[in-house]
Amino acid sequence: MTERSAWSSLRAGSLGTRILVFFSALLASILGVSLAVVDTINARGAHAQIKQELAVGEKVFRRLVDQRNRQLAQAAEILTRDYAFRNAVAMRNLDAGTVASLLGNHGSRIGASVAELVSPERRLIADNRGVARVGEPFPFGWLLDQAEVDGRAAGIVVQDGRAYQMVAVPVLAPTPVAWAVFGIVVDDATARELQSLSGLDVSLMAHAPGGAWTMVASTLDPALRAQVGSALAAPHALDPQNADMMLGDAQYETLVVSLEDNGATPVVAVLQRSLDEALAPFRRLHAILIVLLLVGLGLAVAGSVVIVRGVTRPVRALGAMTQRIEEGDYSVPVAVEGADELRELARRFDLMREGIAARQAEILRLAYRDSLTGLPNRTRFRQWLDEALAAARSGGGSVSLLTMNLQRFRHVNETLGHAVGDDVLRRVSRRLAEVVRVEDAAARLGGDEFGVRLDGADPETAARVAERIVQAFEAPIALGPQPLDMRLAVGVATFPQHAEDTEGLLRCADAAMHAAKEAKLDVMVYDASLRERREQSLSLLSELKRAMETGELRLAYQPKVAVRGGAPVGAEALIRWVHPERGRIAPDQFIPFAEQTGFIRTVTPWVIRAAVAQCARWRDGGLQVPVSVNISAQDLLAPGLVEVVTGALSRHELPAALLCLEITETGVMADPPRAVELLAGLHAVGVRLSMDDFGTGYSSLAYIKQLRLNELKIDRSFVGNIVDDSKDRAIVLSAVELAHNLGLSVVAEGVESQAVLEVLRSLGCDAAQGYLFSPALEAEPFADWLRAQQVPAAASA
Amino acid sequence: MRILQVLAIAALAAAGAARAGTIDVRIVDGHGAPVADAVVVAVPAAGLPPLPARPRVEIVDQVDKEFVPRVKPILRGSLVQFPNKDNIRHQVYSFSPAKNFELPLYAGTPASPVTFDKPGVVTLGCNIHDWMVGYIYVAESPYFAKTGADGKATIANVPDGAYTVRAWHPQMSADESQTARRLTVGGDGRAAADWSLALKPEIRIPRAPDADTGGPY
Ligand SMILES: [Cu+2]
Repeated sequence: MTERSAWSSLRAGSLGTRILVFFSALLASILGVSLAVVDTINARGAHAQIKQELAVGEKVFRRLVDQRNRQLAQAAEILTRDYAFRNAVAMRNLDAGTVASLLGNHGSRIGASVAELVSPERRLIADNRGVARVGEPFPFGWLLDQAEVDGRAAGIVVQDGRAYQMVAVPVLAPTPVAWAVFGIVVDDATARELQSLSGLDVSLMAHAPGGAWTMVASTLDPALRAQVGSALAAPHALDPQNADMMLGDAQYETLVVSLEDNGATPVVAVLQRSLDEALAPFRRLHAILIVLLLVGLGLAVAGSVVIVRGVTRPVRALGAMTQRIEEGDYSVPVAVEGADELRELARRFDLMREGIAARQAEILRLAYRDSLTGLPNRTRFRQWLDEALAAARSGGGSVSLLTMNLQRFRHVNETLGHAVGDDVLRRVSRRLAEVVRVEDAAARLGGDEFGVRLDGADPETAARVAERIVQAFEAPIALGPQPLDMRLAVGVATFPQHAEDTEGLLRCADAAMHAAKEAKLDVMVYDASLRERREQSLSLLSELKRAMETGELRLAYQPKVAVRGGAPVGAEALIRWVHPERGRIAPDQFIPFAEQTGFIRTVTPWVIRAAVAQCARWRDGGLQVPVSVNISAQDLLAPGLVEVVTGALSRHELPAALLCLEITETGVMADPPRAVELLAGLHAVGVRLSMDDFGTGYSSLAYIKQLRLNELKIDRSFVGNIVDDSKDRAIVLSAVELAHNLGLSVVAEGVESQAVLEVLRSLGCDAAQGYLFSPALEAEPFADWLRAQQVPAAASA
Repeated sequence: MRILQVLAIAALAAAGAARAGTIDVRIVDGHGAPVADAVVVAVPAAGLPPLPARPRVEIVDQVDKEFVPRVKPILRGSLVQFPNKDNIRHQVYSFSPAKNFELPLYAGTPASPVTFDKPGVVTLGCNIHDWMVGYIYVAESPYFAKTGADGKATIANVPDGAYTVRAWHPQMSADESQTARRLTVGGDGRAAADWSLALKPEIRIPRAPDADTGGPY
């Protein structure tokens, strides 16, 4: 993780920031409080310690002074108890000079700089510093006062600006005959000695008679000394509670100890401890604590960042992964390092990703693959085309599209069943793939329709490929014992020549394919005229609906004639559409279309009613002629056919036997059980039933037996060549024999010559239909034709 | 000799019964407490009587490292014996102007007594035991007495007449001469004198705890 992203995981409001802020604040407050507590305790402790030090210092100080006094006094007493000295002093038999030198000598031995002898009358008898004062009163009478009480006395005196620690002891002989006085000078060295014992700054201050404090000795820096005197002069300066003194910039905890209060010149010792010095260890502690605080904070921040990274990095990785999944990219696995829980979570995420990816792939496969053949489906094919067209648009190439469907596939499906149909589709797709050989080029577009995309192919190349495909399908498809002969109709369209987009290209190829089918060609390349026809057929449906209302649809009738004798035995009603602009439209131009759209279910009842009505009119006119109506496969599947028939018959009170319904073999085979049931119903009504186009399908004889048929019609494709083709003749013969064996009459369609009629007669066919006798005629001409036939018949009869 | 003296005094008293009296003295200190060991001396205005022909012999013992008595008033010219009752030696001395003497270390009674022929206070010390202090008050007049524990003293056999009386005590802060006053003995033969003396504390080296077995001296 880079530095930037490390910090980017600490955005405001993020988990990282919360963790970091929480722990840092917690630590900071704990340390802050500790610091404050420690500081308070330290400050208190420091003050208490200083006070303690000062108190101890005072004791030490006083003890030291006492000790020096005692030492001095003892040393003095050694002299004053000397018998000779006492004798000399008592007897006053030594001159002052001698006594002075004696005193001075002894004094210097004990470190005293002052050595004096004072008379009981308190006048100086001798002075080691000279004779100047001899005879004058001893200035420190209070000292002798004390000595008279205690036997010895000590005190601090100030003389000539110098301070002395002074002792007075009597010269006893054995009662006092004089006072021996010794003084040790108290100076800075003395103060320093005290300082070394107590650790305190020591200043000795004398209160001069004039009222000012004079410093006589000190350990303080010379610069600070003057300030002590003025500080003591301040009101309440000697108050023991007033412990603070500012010297220079520094604060001193101060204890003023009264050393000498008996004389005219009080002397105090000012014991001081620099607060700064005393607090220095605590300040160091404080500094260490602050460093600890900062280090701790730093560690907390670093630790939080690490923890946060450990949490947010996996979370971010998971987030990134889910985003990739959201964008449809399932390929990148997520790898997460960190806590077990997170790794487990990541593993789960990864399993989820794989699951989603697998399901997505399955969905895509289902969405884009045709499950029957395994080929890509129409949706996928469109995508390919979109992509190919986009590439061609930018690259300037061309894309050709072949659409093809299997001729007669529906027939296969209807007669052999869907399982066989599916098998056929699978084999077709396999063969197609073998021919095309380009990966992802062929697709099943639906039903029996396939598409092939040819990148970079112009119309000519595409047509050649189409021819090759068609050739590949010339070999029959081996399907069990029965090889199937499947033929393709292929339409070719090319970008950019024929269409600008996928939709247009598909339409063009479709149009070309349908045109090929209609023209019974294998391959047709799209051209602009096809488009017009296609567009015409698109408008056909609405026009057909209108035609039914406006009477543009009419029925024509083609007679059925007995092969033997030539008498008319019936009429087949054929639909005619006379378009006000386009003129006559052949039934095969709109009936398949009506079948495709389901409109046939509206057309057929109309035909039945019209035919029944016409038949009734002929009957009323004295012409008894059965009428046949064609019923499509869809009509058989739709409910209500029986009701339509019975309704029409009863309305015109026409005997049911005058109506014949012609069904197709493929129509029956679409749903044989249903067909059997329906035809049984119609049979019960009394309607005659005929099987149209017999021989084209693959109907099983077992079914035919159940269908309650009255008539078989032999398809015109067998009849046309019957004169020359012995095979067709054999088929017709066997059909006739079959029909007769089942008790059915046989009608041959498409009889166009006398020769054919003769062959049919020889084969035992019962009736015939075709141009030889009459084309389909409208009702009036048909009636005329019928009467014309009846005249010779009647004449012959 | 002694008998004669006694007889003489008795004769004097008998002869001048109307002329002989006593001086009653009471001395208190500044606090009103009786002062013992104070010496009172009465000096006749008419002049001092002659000294006896034979000097008196007085005794100041040393008992348990103290002078006994501590204060010993004597008449001028008297002899004083310093017998040592302790089983250790003493070295008695005095640097007083009234009598400067020293008895070298001795045990028992020194061979010869010391004559005190100058009036004044002789402070006795011992060079061995610094705390030992004794006083011999050498009076010029035969009329003197020492107060007891009750602070009282009586000077007896004082002939009628006018006297200057004064009091002395080792610790008195004032000068002795300031205590002098005049009085007259007559009438009923009794006179009285009271003093209130301001005393200083005694400056004395404390006794060694056990002088026989230790101590500096
Ligand atoms: Cu002694």
